Amino acid sequence: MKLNELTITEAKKGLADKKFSTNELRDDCLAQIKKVDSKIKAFVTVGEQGEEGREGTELSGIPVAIKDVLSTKNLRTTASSKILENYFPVYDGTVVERIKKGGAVIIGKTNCDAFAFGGSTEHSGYGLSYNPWDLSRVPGGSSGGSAAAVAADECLFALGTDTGGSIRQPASFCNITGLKPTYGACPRYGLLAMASSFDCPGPMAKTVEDCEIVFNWMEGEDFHDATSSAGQIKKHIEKQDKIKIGLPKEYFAEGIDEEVKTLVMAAAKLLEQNGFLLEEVTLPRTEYGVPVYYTLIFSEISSNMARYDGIRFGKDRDSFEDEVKRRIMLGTYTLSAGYFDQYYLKASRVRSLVQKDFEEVFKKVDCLLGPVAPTPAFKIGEKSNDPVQLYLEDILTVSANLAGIPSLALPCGFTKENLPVGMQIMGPAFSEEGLFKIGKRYQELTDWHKRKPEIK
Amino acid sequence: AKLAKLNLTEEEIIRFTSQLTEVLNFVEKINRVETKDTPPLFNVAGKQNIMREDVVRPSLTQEEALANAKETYKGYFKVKAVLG
Repeated sequence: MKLNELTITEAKKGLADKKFSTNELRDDCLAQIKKVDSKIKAFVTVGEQGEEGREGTELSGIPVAIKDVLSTKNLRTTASSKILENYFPVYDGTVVERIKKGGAVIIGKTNCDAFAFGGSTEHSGYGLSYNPWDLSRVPGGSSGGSAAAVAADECLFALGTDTGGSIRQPASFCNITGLKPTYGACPRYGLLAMASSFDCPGPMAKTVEDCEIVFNWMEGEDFHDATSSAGQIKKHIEKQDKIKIGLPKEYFAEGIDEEVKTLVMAAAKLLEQNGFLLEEVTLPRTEYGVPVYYTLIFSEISSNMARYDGIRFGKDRDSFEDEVKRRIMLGTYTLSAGYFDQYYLKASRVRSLVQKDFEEVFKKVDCLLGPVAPTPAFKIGEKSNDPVQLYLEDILTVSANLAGIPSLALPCGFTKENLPVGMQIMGPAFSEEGLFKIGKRYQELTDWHKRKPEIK
Repeated sequence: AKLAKLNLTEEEIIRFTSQLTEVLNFVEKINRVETKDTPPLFNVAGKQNIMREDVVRPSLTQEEALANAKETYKGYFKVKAVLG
C-alpha cells in the first residue's frame, strides 16, 4: 500500500509498529507529487528536502502541505502572488511552528487565489490548480491547492485559511474534511493577512479524526496575536444526551442545487436515525451575509495590503494581480472620509445582527447542519460571468465568518456525475469538540470520505 | 486608486470603473436593514484592548529584518527621496 494514502491515525500506528519509517512516508508523498502534480498543480513550492520530524510526538514524521499564505521560515512564501515571488520569511507563523513542534514534516507550499482573494484558485499568480475528481473543474478556493493535495494523497494533511469559506468550500469540492475554527482559536501571527477580523487558519485532512488531532496542536492563545483566544469558556455540546441539530431553512432554499439538498438532507436523516434530534430553524439575516461580508473585507483588505510597499519586501505594487487591485480600490473607497459611516460602519452593525441570529438559534438547538456550497465543483472559467451565482456561492459560508463561529465541513455524498458534495456542521464559539464528535460519528456510519479520485 | 498607491493603465481604469459600480450597487442592500440601536461589531472574539507590559522582548535580528529588502544601505532600508 502506498504510504501517502494513509490517514494520520493510520500512519501513526504504522510508525509506532515500525512497519515503515518516517523517511519512507515522506518519500511516498514526494513520489506522488512527482507523479500527479503536473496535472493537479496543487503546489507552488515543493520543499524537496522536507525537514526531519521530531520523534515521539503525535505528528512525528507526518507530511503536511501548507497554504502559501502562511509563513514558513526559509521556505519561499508567495501568497500565490507575483509580488512575493522571491520572499523568504525569516520566521514561522505560529500555527506552522506549532505543528512542527508536533513533529510534522513540511513538504511544500500549496496554491491558492492570490492573497486568498477568491473562491476557486483561479486568481492565483502562478496558474490554476485542478480538481483531482475532474480535471476540467476547479478544486474550490481559496485553499484549493491544499484541498487538492490532500484529495490526491500528495500529503497526509494540509493547513488552509478560512475567511469567507476558503477551507470549507474546497474541502466540499474535493471530498475531504476541513475545519474553520472559532475566530481567535488559531492565531494569525505569520498569516499574510487578508481581513483581520475574519481570517482563521485551520486544518484540512482526510478524516474528522485527523482534523481534530491537527487542530489540537494548532489552537491556543498566542502572545503575538492580541485577537487569539484560549476559549476559557468552551461550549461542550458533546456532553448532551441527545444533540439537537438545527436545519436552517435559508440553507435549503431555492437556488441551491437539488442534488446537493438531497444529499445533505439524507445525511441529516441518517444522523436522526442514530441518536440525534433534528429541528427546522431560521437565520433571517442570511440574505445580508454576502453584501455585509464583502463591504467589510474590501475595507480590511485595502488596509492590510498597504504594507506591500516594495521596500521592506516584495516587488512594486504593479505586480499585484487584477483581483487584488480591484479589492484594494473598493476597500479604499468604502473606508474613505465621507463613506465610512455609510459602508463600513453600517456593515459592522448588520454584522452584529447576523451574530445575534446565531445566538438566538443556539438557544433552541446545539448546532446547525447545512450544505457548504450551492453547487458541486464548477467548471474552470464558468463563474467569471455570472454575478448572481457568484453571490450565492458564498452565501452559505460567510455567515459563520461574520459571527466568528466554528464550522466543520465533511463529505456527504456524490452527484450523478461523481462529483463530491460536502456538508457543514456549525456550532457556537469554541464548540469544536462537539462538532468533531458529530463528524466522527457520521464518518463511522458512512464511507464517502474514504473514496479516492481516479486521476486521469 | 491614487489613495491606495496603485498605478492603473487606461484599460484598467475603464474595466475597474464598471466593476466598482456593480459591486457598490450590490452592497447597497445593507442599507435596507434597520440598525438604529445596534452597536457595530468590530471584534467577534469579544476582546477589547489587550495590553501587555511595555518591556522589550527578543524579536528579529537586524539582519533578518533586512533579509527580503530590495535595497539596503549600511543596515537601513533604502527608499526613494520623500522631500524635495
